[in-house]
Amino acid sequence: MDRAENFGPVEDGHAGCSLPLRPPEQVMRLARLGAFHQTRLSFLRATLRHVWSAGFRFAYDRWEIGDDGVGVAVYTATGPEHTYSLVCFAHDLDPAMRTDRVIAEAWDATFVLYDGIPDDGEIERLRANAPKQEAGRFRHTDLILSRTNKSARLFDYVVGCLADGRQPDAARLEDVGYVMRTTAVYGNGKFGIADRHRYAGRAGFGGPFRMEMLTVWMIRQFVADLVDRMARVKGGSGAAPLDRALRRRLGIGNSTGLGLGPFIVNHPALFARWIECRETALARVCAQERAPSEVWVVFRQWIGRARADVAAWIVPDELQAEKIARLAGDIDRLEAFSAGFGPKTVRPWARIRDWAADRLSLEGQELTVSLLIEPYGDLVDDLADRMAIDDREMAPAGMPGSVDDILEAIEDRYNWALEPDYATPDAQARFWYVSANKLEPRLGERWEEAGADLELPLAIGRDIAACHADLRKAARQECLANFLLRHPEHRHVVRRLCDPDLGSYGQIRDNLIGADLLPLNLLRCKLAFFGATHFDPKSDRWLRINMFCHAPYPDETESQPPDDWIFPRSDA
Amino acid sequence: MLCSLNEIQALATKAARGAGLPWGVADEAGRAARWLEARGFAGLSALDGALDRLSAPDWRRCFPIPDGAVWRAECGGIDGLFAGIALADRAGMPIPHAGAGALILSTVRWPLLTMPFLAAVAEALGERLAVSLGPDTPVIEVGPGIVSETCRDIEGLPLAAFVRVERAEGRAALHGASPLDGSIPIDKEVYARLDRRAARTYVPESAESRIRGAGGSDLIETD
Repeated sequence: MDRAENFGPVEDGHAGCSLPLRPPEQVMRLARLGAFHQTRLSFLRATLRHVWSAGFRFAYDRWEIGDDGVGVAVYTATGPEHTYSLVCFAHDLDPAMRTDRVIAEAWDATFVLYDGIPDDGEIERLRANAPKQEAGRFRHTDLILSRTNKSARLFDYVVGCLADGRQPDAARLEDVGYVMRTTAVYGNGKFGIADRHRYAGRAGFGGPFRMEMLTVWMIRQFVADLVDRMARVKGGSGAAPLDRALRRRLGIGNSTGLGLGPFIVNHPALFARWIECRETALARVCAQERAPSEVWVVFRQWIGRARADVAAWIVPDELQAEKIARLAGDIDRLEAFSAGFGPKTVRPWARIRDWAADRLSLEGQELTVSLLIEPYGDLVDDLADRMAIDDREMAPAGMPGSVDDILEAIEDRYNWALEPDYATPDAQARFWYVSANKLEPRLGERWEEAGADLELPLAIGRDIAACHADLRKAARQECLANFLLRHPEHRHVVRRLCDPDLGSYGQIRDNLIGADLLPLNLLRCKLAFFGATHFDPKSDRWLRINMFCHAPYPDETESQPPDDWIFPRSDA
Repeated sequence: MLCSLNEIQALATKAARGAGLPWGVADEAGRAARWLEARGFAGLSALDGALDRLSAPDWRRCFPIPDGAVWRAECGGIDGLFAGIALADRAGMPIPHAGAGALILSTVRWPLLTMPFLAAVAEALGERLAVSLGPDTPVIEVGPGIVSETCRDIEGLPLAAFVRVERAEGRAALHGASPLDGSIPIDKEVYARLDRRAARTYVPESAESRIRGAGGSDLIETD
């Protein structure tokens, strides 16, 4: 077995040239992953760029929402080859029933993204199932399932203002950031909806979570239309529509708990690809010998826009508030450090990257990554289309090599897994499980709660160490296939170690069951890849975020650019 | 009921884990069930049958002992899933059947579950394999990602006296069962049985976990 194949030098495999990427021992620490921000490669930004470039057209297929705010609306999105329909059911939800928990049973609005345009029969089928969400059953024509709840803070306020013929206060809109938030967005076969492979071959939808992002973005249009509609019902002819600039300040909120956490651990090859593409983008930018003056103008504008966005990122969580305060200082230092740089500066971006690594907080370093990439769309945007991997039906056959080979690989490359002393209580303080009541991933305290015998296989470091201990007891020349016959309990670990798709970035190099684990970092990392902003931690294991805040709407594809909004312009 | 392939795979994986198999083995069960159901073969039903035996504490004894040209299991019958795993792990290794002869698996439970792994072996070897269960059963041919329609004959078969695997003769094109388009029809009772097995992987809520808010947003959100 040639381990070098799996663990070779880290290079830009997509650029056709060899570029040094930041090493996995630097990147793949949970504290850093939990400091990631959105970039140009984030899935919702890549989705909008595709929607614009493919010339998608949006239309209302039906609007049957009554004066009581209850009914169905259908929006169509027509691209060059396919039409997708967002089927929206608006409900009259008793405020006492409004909970963001995944196990809720009723919502303000429920949605299905449908493949094609549904006829009356299909609308009725969806009407019988979509409002039930997890308790409904769906078919392969149903691509994405979602639901939203109103922000009680803002929805009624905005509707009230508009009904009175005046615009809502911008500061109040900014304070919350959305009038509705999703509490789940389901894709890839859940509850009978379409498997991802059904549409992954369609142009523009091969990238990860693109269909989910399209759905959330179209939901945002529905929410804006619903606000206007309810204001007209309430205020009659005196009602005002929501001002377009104000409207763009509203994203779609989202509450995210631990359910999101295991994904990036359970899909190591996919996650490795996301990281590799992001690092490749950074490396391509840092390889630029010099930057022309127009790029410097853009870079400095983005620093200013980021500063304004960070100033508006206000959270009650003390730990995150401290990080944000430091981040604001980091932006000032970045601006000061790069102030003397210009078209004559040699390798400016690599210098900024290296300086940031020495001087800035993790939040500051990773925001710098986003800012360095930002002016270079032409150089990096192709990577957004390479962030998916082909799903294999069966794992490739063959477990070649000996005990000796894999021992060597573990000791050479997985020291981080062997370092903790798993015999100490703190090293195994937690366990991940699926709760019988919620059917959602949860985190338990191993020494205080029952259920550790049913733990999910997320304790990668500990399991590698256990496999290593048994390998050391085996005959060095025993073939790996025979070792696995004797030790099937190590199969999930050996599969990981031998996965040719895992690359260098497939493993998070931290103990995911340790007493000091901050699970929020797992969630934040994935959400940053989605393109979420305004992370607002509500505990160490759930947070609120905003998606598409400041973005144009589907009814603005003619008048607005697709990707110049993530940090708002001062004139926006 | 109609199911997605991802649901089928997740159900099979959790059911196998719920029956007591380790996660890595359960993952293989999930992939195999999905592969079969995607081609219209009753993979979930076969897995459910196999798990009756594999849920016993001595499940390890259902792995084949890969010794020479005839493989047997300590417990008297090789599990079809385990046979597939052992065969796939050895793909590309110098094994007895790579020469002139055939490999015999003696007494195989639910041999349908072996087929997806043989397809992976065929892919690794770049060759087709011929599988026979006796003179009265048509030969099943397995190629990369494909199995012949004759596989239908062993769909509900709980036990085969032997399974013979060898390289396929001839070069005629293999017309296999092609992947289904759309949702997959699944027998409700099979689904319910596997769902009960899967439920054994779930941890009931305890007073401690409730207090700790194990998943986070256990609050009523009204703002």
